[in-house]
Amino acid sequence: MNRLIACTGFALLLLTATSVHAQNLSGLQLYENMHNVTLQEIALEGADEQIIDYVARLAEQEQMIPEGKTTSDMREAVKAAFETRLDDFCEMYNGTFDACPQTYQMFRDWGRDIVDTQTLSTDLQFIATGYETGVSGNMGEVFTIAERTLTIRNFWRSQDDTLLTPEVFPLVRAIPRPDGVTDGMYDNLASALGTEAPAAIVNRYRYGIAAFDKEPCRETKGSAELFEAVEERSCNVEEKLRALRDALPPTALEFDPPLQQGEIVIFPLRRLGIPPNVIVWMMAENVDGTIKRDVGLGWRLMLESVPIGILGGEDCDSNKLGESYCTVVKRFSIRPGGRYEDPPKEPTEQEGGLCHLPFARDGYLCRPLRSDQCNAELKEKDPRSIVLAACKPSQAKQPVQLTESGPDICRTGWWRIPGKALTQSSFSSQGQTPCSPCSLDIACEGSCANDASAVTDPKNDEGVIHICLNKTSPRSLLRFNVLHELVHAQQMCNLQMHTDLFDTVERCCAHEAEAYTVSCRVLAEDGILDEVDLSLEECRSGLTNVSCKRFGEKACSDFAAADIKDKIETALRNWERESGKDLPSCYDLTGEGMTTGMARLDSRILSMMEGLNGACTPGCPTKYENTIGNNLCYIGQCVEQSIEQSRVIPGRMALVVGDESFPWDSCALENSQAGGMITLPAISPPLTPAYNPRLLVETLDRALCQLNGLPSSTPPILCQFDYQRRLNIPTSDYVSTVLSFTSQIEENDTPTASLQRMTQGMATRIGTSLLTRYLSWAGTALSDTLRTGNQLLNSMEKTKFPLSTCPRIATEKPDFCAASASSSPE
Amino acid sequence: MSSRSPRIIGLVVLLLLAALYAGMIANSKKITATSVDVLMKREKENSILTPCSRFEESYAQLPFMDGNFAQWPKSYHDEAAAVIEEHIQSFVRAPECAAATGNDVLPAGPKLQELAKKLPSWKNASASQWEMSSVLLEFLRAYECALEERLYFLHPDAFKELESIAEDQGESADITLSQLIAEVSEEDRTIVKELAVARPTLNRSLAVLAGLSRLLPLHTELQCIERASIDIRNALALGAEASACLPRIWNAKDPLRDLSQ
Repeated sequence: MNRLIACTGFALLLLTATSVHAQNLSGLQLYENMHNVTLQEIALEGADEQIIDYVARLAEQEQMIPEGKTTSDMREAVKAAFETRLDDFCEMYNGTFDACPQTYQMFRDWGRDIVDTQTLSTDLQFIATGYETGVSGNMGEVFTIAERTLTIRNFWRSQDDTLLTPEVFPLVRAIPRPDGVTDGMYDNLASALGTEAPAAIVNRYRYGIAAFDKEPCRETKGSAELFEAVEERSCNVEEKLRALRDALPPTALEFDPPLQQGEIVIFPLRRLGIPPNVIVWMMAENVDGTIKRDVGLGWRLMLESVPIGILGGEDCDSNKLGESYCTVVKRFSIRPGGRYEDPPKEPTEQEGGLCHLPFARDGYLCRPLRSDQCNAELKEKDPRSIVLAACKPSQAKQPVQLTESGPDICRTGWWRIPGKALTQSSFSSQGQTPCSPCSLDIACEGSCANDASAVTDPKNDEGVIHICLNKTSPRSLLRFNVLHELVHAQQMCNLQMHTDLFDTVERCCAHEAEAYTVSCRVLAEDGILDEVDLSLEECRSGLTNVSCKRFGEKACSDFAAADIKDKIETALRNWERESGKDLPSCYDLTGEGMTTGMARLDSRILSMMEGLNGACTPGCPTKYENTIGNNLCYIGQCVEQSIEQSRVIPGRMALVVGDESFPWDSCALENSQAGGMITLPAISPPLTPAYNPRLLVETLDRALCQLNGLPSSTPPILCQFDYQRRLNIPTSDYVSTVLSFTSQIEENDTPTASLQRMTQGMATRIGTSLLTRYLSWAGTALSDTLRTGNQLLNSMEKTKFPLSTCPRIATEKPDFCAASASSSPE
Repeated sequence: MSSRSPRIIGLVVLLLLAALYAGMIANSKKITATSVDVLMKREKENSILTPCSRFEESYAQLPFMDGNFAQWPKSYHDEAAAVIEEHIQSFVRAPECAAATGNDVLPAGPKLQELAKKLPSWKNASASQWEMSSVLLEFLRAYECALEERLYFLHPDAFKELESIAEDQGESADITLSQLIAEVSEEDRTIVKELAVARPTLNRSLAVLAGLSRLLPLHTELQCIERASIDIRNALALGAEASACLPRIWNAKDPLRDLSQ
């Protein structure tokens, strides 16, 4: 049933995703938009009312309004000037032509100045749109690299992968839109938006409405200008957005499967017909057990620029802009010269700003290299280089992992979904179970061995692994300890009774390093490592040294961190105190039963317990999310279980005492070493190809000079004019000599303009070539990895299996055995 | 000397001339003339960044030939706008992931392809969607060349334009001086305006699109990787299903395993 629901959900998701992509992008009209902007800039064609108003008021401030005329009268005159109707202008201005053309030109110049300023602002916004669309982290853009990368990552990942990577990624999933969200709600929102200035309102609510919950809505209609738009609120739009938000599931359990701690859900985007290019996004996030829902607006492609303010002067800050300036601003309601107060600050993460969005929050603006900081000090740093992050190589002196017989791949079991409910009794009393060679006995005790906060004892005669948790330890340490000790339990589950994991320095370091990899990972996720300024590698190395101290100082790693354990414990206590969380006690954990208690700590703990069961053991179900990584985990564990714990080549019935029970072992083909010779590609950072702008400019200079038949000179204007040309062959009179001088430059104008026009075409080709070279370098590691994967799959495909079974009773070698022996490599 | 000698000499000379002529004709193809012609023709049709002129044959397909000047700006801007719109649409177009070369992964859309074929650089080559900005800049250069050349010959061209308009309308072909001056003035204003506006407009559009387009190859690759990932996941899921049968071959040493059969 669950599978059916999942399939239906996935199909719905695909359908909705497809419908979003299938919608065309008509209405963008990028080129028309740019054409209008340019016409206004160059010819003052189609200048808007604000600019006309601005020039009229500026004329008033400059006392250029004739007697008997008002500022309102001037608007029509300004409009005529902008439309190059000189006669009309003069008639409207003062009815005479005295000094009228000068005023006409002055008005046009003022208009052109302010249009220039506005166009600069518009250009910058459009350039920002070009560079940020797709990578800004805003939702619903025409394409998003971050979302797609995350989707691919979700296809490939196994939950165990997190142990191998220094990054902490957010958990994100997409689900179909809930039934409560109807088309009518979107239509209502679209109509509410249609009555407002869409650009300003969409910008205002692009980070969602969560930030607006603190203060009740008060209709604020600022003008749709760059800085004033940040004060604007539309109660009608907010009401419609809140209606959408309230239709989203309010609790974690209403999601299927329930929303995990820190997990983010994204609902399908919805594009509004009017205004064009506007989308509505919805998300929900589990923050410490509380579901935070949010709804916001966004752009498919942001082409509605918000102009800078040129009118209005209610709030001029005279301390910053000067008393005299503000006097003009307040009296005439214009901002001549384009002087403004400081721009308003972007809202912070807590206030629902950019970092509130699920993809943007992992960008460098919001996450200054959170847990993957490496703190490497580069001794010989090139002063010209910019280093964003540098990692020290591993300083481990001992192996960081030792594998024993049994399934070691994906051993923690985070890739598995816990099955039936687990109880304390089901673990502690039974010892070995049909699914697992061990069971757990977790107990809260007054003190553990060596005064530790948690200890795992070796497997006893019954196959029970006893884990002692010190009940006097702080609650914040509990999750850290349980995860750590469970790794030790997994390490010894397949081993013989009473095996000591820590008897030598190599074994101690390897087993502790594996366990600390897991526990340091949860510290990183909680932000504790940021508090104590440690990277994952440093946390693991330092704590491993502490745990294996009996073998000497820095027995496992060269990393030296005094009091690392105390620092982490102090940070955990502070975190517990500051967060005000009601963390479960040790007794809560055992008293509530394993499932409920452990799940309250971390649902991965249940996966780890589930991981004690063999993935391939007959009769023991294994459940996991269908991803490439999880499938490989399952296949890997099955193969390990089969080869390391079982025989896969049958024996025969011995007829006499001396008969060999397993004679066919020798018939096994030699290991084909598939994958043995494969080298993983070196992951090197992509380099920007050599770019020689000076060389390119010099080439262009040379070409300009060649047009005039001269050797290259810099600047190329030197090639435009050669005084000797005329002086060496003088004309009969001075006038024609001077005219000849001036015409010398004119004759080169056309070829120069022609070359300049061609320059952009050449520059585009050079730019494309640079990008191609960059991508071919940057994509090498990825293509090599895919090629390696392809090679491995091909090797697997070539594996041959015998077609006949091994005989139960046989005195002679069967045919297949003879065949395999003859075909085996020499 | 008999009269026969001059006749023989004349006949021999004629034969020699005929043979020489035939030899020249026969050898001309073998030497260079044809291949050079072909090369020159190809170069002319398919050169890169050629000197542009609306009188060149390679630019003849563009809508900037004689006549119908009033439609030039509209034709240019409409075509540029259509290509740009198509380029934005290409972000949601499914790529050809199985293509042999990078250029074929996202072939040019029909509008870009049609425009590229009219330009010398892409006459015999298929354009890719990546080349949108190069094609449009070439189109713009051709447009500006045409405007400049129209300006050089403005009066005769304007005269022809008026004649053509009158002919289309079935009116008298007599053009007055005032009509000519008005036409010249109008065309001059249009040319100056277009020369000032066309390039900044395209530059602005490309400033937005260049930022977007730098991610287009990555976006396309990611789409292909995503599709391939689904295939790999399904294949491995089948592999996992198969490996669930591995316990059937475990510990097959027990000789009693199939006695019941």
